[in-house]
Amino acid sequence: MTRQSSVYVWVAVGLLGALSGRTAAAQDVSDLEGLLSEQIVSTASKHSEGASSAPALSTNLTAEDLRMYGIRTLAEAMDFLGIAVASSDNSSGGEVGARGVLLTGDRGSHFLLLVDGQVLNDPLRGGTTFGPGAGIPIELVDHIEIIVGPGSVLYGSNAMFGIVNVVTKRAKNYSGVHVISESALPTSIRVGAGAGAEFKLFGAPTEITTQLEYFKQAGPDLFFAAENTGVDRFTGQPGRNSRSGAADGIWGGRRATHSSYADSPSGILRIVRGNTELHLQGAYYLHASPAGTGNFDDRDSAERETRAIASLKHRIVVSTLLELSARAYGSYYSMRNDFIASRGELCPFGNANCDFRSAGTAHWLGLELQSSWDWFRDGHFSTILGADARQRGVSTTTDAFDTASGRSFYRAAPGLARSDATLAAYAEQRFLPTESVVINGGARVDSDSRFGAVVTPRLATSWKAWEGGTLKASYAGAFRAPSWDEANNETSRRILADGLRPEKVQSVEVSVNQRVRTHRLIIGGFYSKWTDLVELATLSDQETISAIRNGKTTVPFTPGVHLTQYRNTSTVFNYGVNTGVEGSFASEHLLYGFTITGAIADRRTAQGSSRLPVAAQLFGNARVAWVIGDPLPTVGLGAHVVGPRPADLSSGFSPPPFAAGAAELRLTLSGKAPLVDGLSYRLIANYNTARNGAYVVGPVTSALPTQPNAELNPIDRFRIIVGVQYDF
Amino acid sequence: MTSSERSKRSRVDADMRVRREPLRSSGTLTRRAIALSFVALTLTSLAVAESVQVPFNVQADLVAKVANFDRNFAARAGTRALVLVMMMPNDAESAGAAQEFRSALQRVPKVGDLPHEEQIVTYTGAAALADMVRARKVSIVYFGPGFSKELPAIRSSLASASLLTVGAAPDYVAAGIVLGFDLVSGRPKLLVNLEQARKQQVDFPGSVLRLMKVYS
Repeated sequence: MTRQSSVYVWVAVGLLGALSGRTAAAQDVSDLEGLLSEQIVSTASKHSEGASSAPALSTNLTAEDLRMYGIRTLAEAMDFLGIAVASSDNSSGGEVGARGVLLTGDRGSHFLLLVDGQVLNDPLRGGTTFGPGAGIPIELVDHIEIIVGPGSVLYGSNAMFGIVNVVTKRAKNYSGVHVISESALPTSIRVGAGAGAEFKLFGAPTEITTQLEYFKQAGPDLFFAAENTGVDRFTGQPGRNSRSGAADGIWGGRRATHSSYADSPSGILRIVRGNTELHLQGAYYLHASPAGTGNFDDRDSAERETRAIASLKHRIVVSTLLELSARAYGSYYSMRNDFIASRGELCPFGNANCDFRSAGTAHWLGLELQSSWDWFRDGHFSTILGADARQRGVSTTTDAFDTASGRSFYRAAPGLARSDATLAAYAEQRFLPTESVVINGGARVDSDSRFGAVVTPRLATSWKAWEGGTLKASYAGAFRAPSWDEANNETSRRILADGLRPEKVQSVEVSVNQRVRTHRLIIGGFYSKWTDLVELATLSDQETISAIRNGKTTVPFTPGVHLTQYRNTSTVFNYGVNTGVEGSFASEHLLYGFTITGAIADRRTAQGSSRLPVAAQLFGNARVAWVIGDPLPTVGLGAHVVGPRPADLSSGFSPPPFAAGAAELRLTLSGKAPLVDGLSYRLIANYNTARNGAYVVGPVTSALPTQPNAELNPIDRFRIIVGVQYDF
Repeated sequence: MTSSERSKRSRVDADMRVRREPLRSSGTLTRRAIALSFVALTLTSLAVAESVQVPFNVQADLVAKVANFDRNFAARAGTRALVLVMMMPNDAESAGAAQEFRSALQRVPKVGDLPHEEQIVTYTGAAALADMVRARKVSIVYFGPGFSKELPAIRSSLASASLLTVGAAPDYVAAGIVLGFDLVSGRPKLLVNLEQARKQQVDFPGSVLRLMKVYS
């Protein structure tokens, strides 16, 4: 830590102390308030503990915060409430990153997303969404536990940025029937019904919580600036950028009124009887965006995703020494993606319109057995040993159709039809040598027939060094197994990967946590090295010709249009600091929070060093809420700030396109409606200072004589959201 | 730990059978294992325990702090606070919780601003517990998991005692334990049964009750 940073910490602590000065008696109560404000986390170590001593940067986002600050999705929760994490609006559900690293196009596969401990990342691509398509009803969320930093030691693949564990409410906190309706006027509506109940089943206490909801979005009808794709390199004429439009080479130049929509029914059910827990969840998500490189505003360029997960868990306390748990689980995922293009260089079949369709289904079935050993029966020296066996299957198809006749243009790529089994074993040792020190060490071995074994270790320690202060240090690793789609699949324009290796990250971090009555400060520094990152590489003309000659594709060679292939291409060096303060005044009537992260992410490839696109080097959030008390509303004001960052999907533009720094501001009024018992409301006004995001849209992703400048995705800048909930 | 406690714990351990399931490696065996586990899990629900959600060290810190605010605590405890940590016989989870809570409380310098002593006691009945409380000038009795069915008897037996009863599981408070813990939105929450508190001469000021979920 630099001298300047140290001064900053102590000044902040001093300010907190001064701000919260009260009488001696009141201070005693505020000490109790401080204890009650301690965040309890369990994801990082599979052991319930205070966040300040957990073996990673762990924070809880509470249900109250989600409501007070007008949060509707996980991505919004991370932006407005999280520390060191942020999302980026790509006009198609968003992307998420952490600590200055964001890997565009990863479909959320570098975060492990759990709901009540069940993995939501899909079995086909390892991806997940943090937007409305996640199918997680926000009213049912008790809290969201965010672990920032590598977390594969207990969870395996995908936990490279960290882990997001959504913990749903227990029945006692969601009892009765609840009906919800919320609309971002006039573009989307979400309606839902949920319930919670406690009862006895065969003599055992049982509880059930459930919610079904439906989300529909149509719009916003954003304006896309015209892009001139010029003379088509295949036809020698200006290209067509719509099915029946003129061949004038123009894409955009008007509002997109057909292709910004989403449709998503979803449901979740959790039943707990004694030590047995059943979790069922399903979601369908149809979504489209006008921002792609194909035809402009084509409604059929869309993706359909279906997810279903089920798990049954049972815990047995064998003795004071040993506790066992078993979890049987399954996950099913299917997707279909249609990409409509008419330009000759994409669809070289005369006056035709192409529908490039890829589809796939995948599943896994698994069993995880875990034993917890408390060697001295007092929690001082405990061991977790676990094993996870999983059977997986996948099938994919890819084809290119004539949209008019349905005829296939190419001989379809063979697709995948595979199944295999994976095994993993993990161990964690937790040791409390004194009352103020916690040492946590562990490792996990994952065996995958495609790559061989991957070992991910972690060693962490925390020390309560002074009153309210905890020092933490940790080293951790994580990996992401390339998905079936990346490692084993090919499409008409993407050739099969060659010996793809798992991505890995290793990270060291130190932090200071300080509690002063009801106020908490955290400041930390980190250094991470990411290796073997998988990227979709564009083949050179020479490589393309070679691939065609070697039968790796049946696509004819088109000058200027290249094939692609997934490759381990880059290494990222990532370091920086993150800090956050949160607390309350006036007996929790006035709450506040503030976080900021400064991070450098240096991407290195064989071609040299560059800054990661879309990833901001400076970002954070601030919030304040005033809980006035019934019948007056709670007023919440939140801000999410992101610094300037280079745009994605661009090459050859001079100067390179940059997204300007931006702030998203959100004012929320929430409370109980007057006169009607059981009715509550949320009114949200959201404003974004940015006109554009950080993604190049449309077909021109490298400078052309007819289009020297890049166009960035437009942002929906102002929106009013109205929500009501009725509790029976 | 006394030799009798050690002996009791050994019996508890010996009474429980360790279940181990083999790990299969091939796809077929994995599928069989999964299928068998579903059956086993569906049939196995014998050991039903109350959920303890707040870590024991946090519970210990809270008990020590809250006792400060009980206006009758000092008079009840005298110069040294005696804390009984109850353990249900033949219940491994209850035994484990008792030991972990006692260990956590031992690390806390003072309880209610007094030096303190913790003893694990095997529960034999509500009446016997009430007798022990009166005879030994007990300040706090802590109940871990496994006491749900005993709570009505405990509630009535201890109704006239000057005593702070504390329950690990949130459901205990509605059933007659004075103070309990819950985990709401990832943060600990104190629960208090005000009627039982009055009967047991536990008197918290309004400033503390404001921080608690009150059952009356």
